Amino acid sequence: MTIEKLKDKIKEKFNLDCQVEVGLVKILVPKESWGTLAEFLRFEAEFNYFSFITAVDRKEKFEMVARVENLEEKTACEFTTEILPNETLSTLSELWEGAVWQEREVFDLFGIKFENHPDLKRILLPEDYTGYPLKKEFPLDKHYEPYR
Amino acid sequence: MEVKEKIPLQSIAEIYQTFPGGELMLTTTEKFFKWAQVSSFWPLTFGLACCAIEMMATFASRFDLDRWGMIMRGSPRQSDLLIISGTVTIKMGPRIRRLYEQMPEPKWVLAMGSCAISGGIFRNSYAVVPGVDRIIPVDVFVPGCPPVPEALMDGILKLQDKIKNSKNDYRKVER
Amino acid sequence: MNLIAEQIETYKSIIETEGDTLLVNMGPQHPSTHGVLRLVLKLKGEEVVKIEPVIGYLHRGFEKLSENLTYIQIVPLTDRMDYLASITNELAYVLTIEKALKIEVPKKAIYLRVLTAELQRIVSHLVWLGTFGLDLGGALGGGSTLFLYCFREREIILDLFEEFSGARMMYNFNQIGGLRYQPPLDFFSKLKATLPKLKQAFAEYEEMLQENYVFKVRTKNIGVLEVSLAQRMGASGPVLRGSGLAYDIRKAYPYSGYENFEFEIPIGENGDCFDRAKVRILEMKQSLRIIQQALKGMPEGEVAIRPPVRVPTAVKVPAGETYMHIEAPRGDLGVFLVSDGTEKPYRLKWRAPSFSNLAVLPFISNGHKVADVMAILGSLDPVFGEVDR
Repeated sequence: MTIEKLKDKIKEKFNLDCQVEVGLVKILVPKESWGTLAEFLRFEAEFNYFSFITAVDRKEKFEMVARVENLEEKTACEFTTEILPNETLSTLSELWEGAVWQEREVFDLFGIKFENHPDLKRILLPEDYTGYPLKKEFPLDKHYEPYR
Repeated sequence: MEVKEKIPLQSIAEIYQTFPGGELMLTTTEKFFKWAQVSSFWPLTFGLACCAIEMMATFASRFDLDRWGMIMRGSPRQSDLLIISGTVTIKMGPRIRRLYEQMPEPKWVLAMGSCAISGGIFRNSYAVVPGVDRIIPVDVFVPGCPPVPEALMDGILKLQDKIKNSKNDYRKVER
Repeated sequence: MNLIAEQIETYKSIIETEGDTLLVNMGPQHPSTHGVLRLVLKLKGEEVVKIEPVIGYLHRGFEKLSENLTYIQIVPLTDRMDYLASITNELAYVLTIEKALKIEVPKKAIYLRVLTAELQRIVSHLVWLGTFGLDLGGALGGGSTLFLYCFREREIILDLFEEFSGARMMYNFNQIGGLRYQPPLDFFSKLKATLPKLKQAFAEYEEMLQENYVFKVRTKNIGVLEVSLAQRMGASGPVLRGSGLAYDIRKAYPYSGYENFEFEIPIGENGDCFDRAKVRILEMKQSLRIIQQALKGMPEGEVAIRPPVRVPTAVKVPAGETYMHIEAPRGDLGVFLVSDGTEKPYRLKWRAPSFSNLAVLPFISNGHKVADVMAILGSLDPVFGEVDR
């Protein structure tokens, strides 16, 4: 599916405007249609390659960014949504298995919970660690107390 | 055949003390043991981060630490030198302590690279232990990021000197 | 930290029988886990039923540290991420900033970047091949031979890097807007003299690939990764190409002048360990080809848009989001930068290829023997500085 066609289809199906660059579509999705849009991208637009999912802490809200690619046609899609700090988001791991670890990483460093995730626990930090270091409220030079 | 009477086992020191000049002999065995320890360190195959690659290079073709009798051992039970080669994180810290405790006495620790010495470039991170000496006692520090193989070799020579010139007072490990 | 509670927890997981399956802990200190990886293996006899990697033992907090550093100060930090391929990390980061600032770098810098990136790819693959030999053959078996040979060749290239940048591993060599140094006068002639040696060595490795019976038995049909799963997992680089998809970012999204160079993308057929090894060994030969072309077409002139300065001046990136990805030796290395117009990044996310490649391990090692898990892990080539970041 070419970029232009994809843009029209998203407009028709989800009533969303996309930002188009060379070989790249950027979409800002409302939180509710995050899962359905992902399903559309995976099965109809055939974005099979899962690049990454991450979060950006905008202080009063979190911006979630995921990037998927179609390697044969060399097109990519970055879809973004915004959630409030205590909200959850539906998981992408049922569509792309690569999201399992990536979402665990987001949970580990930002504390964002994903619905229906198969194995949501800390991945990088020790299990008894408290706090979510990549949040902006976490101080930049906070050290781990037992070793100070 | 006649069964010989068993000689009751005594400690070596007690045997030495039974004849004149025994103390003198003890000091020479000490020297002998030190010579053996110094010329065959058996480090643990244990790499943490970037420095581990330089450590591997030091053991490989060009620098060849085998010529000092250093052979990598896979198990801490068989090794007497722990080379901390890289950043110690808070998740790895307790494991390093465990590895150190599993090694038999006498044992030595060499902290390789800035990260192992003080946390280095990652000192201000939330997940890094600022220096491995907060977890286990360290004998030799080798600075560098990462230290070149020559520096590591120099550190090992320093450790050899330290052992040779030390009194027989193996450091008490705090439990 | 409550050490005793953790000890009990670990002892529980070390050995725990559960019907006729056995839970075995492997790592984080293990000679062939390539650093600090812990694997929890569920075994039935000698066969692996389930495998759970536990990572994070080298989590150093790159992303948080970067938020407190200026754009120029981050370059040395990126060196330590994938420590086997420092230059490609620098390149990914520097290209991202240049993309955000819309800077054009001089042509000589572009050529030198390609040249050093390909040399770095060779160095990285050599370390992989050496340690892969250790995984297959053991330190006291035939494996250490390969290890010693590979490190011999690696030292040749590291000498060149040392002359160029002053360091053996952490170069801090790319800077925003070009390179930090001009190459030494005799750099190119020395490099030219090195190439035949490397070429001969690669021929030997390729011969091993085709002739060595043990190598084939240990790697063929072990850890087969289907191409569709590889894509969904986000596996990239030699792992994806070993499964048969010719996807290389150097060709797909050419960066830093790669469109001017001729090279092929080696691919595998079955997606097993042998194919992944084959792809890497053939890639080294292609890298030599690129280096030769770069040497031939090396232009004259400056290597940076401004001369190196002692005091870092502020680089301010306009507010916005930038994503740039390059083909690192391990695959798709991406940098996602969110800037807010100041001299420090607001958020710097690394899309690490090793992280996604390692996630494949539980899917492809079921039903294999424990010894084969080491071969599979070795063929995925994770670097833990990058997995844990």
